[in-house]
Amino acid sequence: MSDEPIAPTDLAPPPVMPPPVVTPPPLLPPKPVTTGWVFTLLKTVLTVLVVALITAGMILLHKMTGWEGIWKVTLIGTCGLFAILSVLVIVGGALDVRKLLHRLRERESSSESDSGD
Amino acid sequence: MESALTNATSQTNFGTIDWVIVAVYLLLSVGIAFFVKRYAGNMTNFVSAGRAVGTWLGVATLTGTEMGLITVMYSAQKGFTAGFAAFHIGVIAGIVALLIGLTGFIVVRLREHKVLTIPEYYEKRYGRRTRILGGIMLAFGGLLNMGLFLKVGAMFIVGITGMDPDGNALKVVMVVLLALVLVYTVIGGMISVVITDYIQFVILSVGLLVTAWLAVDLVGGLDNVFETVDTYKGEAGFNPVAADSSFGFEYVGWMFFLGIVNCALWPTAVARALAMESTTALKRQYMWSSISFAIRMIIPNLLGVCAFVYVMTKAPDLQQLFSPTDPDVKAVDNLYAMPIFLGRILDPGVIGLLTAAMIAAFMSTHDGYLLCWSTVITQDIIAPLFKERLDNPTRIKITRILIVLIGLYILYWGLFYTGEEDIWDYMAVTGAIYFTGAFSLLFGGLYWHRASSTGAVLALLVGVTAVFGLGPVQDYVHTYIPGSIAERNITATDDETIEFEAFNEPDEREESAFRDMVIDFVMTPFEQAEPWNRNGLEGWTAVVRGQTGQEQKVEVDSSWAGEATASSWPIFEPKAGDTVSFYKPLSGARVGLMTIGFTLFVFILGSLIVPDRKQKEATNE
Repeated sequence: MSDEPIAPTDLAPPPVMPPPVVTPPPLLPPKPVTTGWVFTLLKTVLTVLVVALITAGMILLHKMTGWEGIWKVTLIGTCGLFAILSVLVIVGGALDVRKLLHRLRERESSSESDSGD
Repeated sequence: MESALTNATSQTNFGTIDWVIVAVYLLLSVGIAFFVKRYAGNMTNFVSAGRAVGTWLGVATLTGTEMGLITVMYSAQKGFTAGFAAFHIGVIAGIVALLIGLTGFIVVRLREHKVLTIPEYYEKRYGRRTRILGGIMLAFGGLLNMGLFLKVGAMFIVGITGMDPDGNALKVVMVVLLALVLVYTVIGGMISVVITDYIQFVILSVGLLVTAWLAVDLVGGLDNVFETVDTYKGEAGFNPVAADSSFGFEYVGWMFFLGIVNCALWPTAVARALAMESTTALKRQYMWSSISFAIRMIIPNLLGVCAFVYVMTKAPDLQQLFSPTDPDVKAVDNLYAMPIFLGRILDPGVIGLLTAAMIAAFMSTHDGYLLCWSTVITQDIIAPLFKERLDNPTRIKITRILIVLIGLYILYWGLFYTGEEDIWDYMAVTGAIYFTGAFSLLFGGLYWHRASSTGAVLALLVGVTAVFGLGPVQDYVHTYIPGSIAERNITATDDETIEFEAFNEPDEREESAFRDMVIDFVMTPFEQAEPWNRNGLEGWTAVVRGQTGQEQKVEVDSSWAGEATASSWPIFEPKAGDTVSFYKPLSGARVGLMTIGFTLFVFILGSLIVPDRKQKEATNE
């Protein structure tokens, strides 16, 4: 038996893996602020504001006049809005009927295939 | 001898000029159907008007369909019985429609799939079998729902024109109205429906606003209306959640869900959404229609309230008719209150215009509904069963035949249905058979990728349990309603009181927190009586069965451990040896809310446990 020490097979320090290079995701250019975007934002804020104001108004009205006041305002408000809507629908609807008949006439003449079925 | 009701209706101001106005209007409607007949040649044009409807025409047709004479009648009935508190139904409907218009909830995604009907979407998302089952459920719930339209519409015409309601007038009016609607729906399809809806919107909107103004003015002004309601109904006439209100929080919650249903799930409204030219036009249509969704109930509510004020302050004969002081006299159906009131206060000419407007409302709803249900049966049940081998002309022919058959069915149902619930509540319950399942399928299918066909089928089947909200069905199965009291023998009777084996207070059970919690949770919707206490059965329904098998039900006025008293026995005097059982009827709102919870539960559970092997794309294929 030899007294020679057995040489270690692997004296070299284990290789150290370099830390993975994290490449940052490419920076997307910020979305351009378009007129449409601003308009949508304004519309949303305005809608929230109007809803909040109406709710606050209704709560105040309920405190001052009870359910009677709420239903009076509801009745007059909805009737008024319905009157305006009726005028708009009567005028706009007549134009839409004309457009609808025009389109159907066009389709009939070009005998378009029935894709809906 | 003529009855009090015949006498009441005969005092109308409806005259010859009014008949002329009505006749001119009807001829105009049928003429339009013939004019547009040549465009109804293919199925897309017949069912969806070629998907070429603009925003304003869309608003007109959506309003025309959803503001039917049936709506006017049931809303007036709610106003008559509940006062201004009934306004909450219209307000909620308007708010929900506006929110759907702003967000496009369900309808926009559905429109993007370019389907003709809701079950067609089921097929794209869940497969053909779900489509057929969905079509069957839809047709079943929808046809039951439509069952009373014709009768209620005819009641209005009879009431306002002064025909004899006790004779055959009601049946004759039902047949004539039905024939008119069938003619122009069968001939022109959706195109004639859309165009006549427009004309009907014009007449209806003007007619309703003018009538509301006149009705308030002729009963002494708005302040007088509010004061009278306050005098006779108190807080419950204004506050829908007051302690003695006929509504309550449960009902208000149910109305919110019905608001979503009316806009986003109900096929007739969705059919209008699917006919729009673009999703932008669709959202705009809903936003504008939110006003109509509110007003379609608020103005008729107001007419009902005005009828109530008129009956209580100006017409003692009608007061005896609708709220008799003698308990042995049966009150006349209060659906007649509003037409009789209008017939008495409006001048000739104005009544003709109003009646034309109401017939317009009647026809615009019927045409839309007839077309919708017949299309569902053709496209979603028959065509898939034939594996889509049916060509266009055959489909249109089948749809036309079905329109006529459905018309005959509503004539039959209107004559023979015996339920006594308010019409609005009847409609909500029958509609729930379809829409409780449909809500899960559409909401889940459009917004949840794990929704599966197993969950869908289970939800559709469970939706049928909504049928237990109907009065006649509850009568039939009342012994199975949790909390009901089984039959016991009647031992003696004394006038309006029956005596039976006394109830004993049960011994206290050993406490078990878990058991109590589970039982409390499951039994929460079902009332438990304590019949051993004084008046423990007050408000419950007693079902008395005679020895010959005859049966009658009455509400218990007062009770004690071994006896119960009713105000009168409507069919026969009970005798010793007969039997009696008790149950508490479940409200339609409660059954509806329970069904929604149940369908959602089985839909989610079924989808999680049995997912589809291949996820179907929720996109247009």
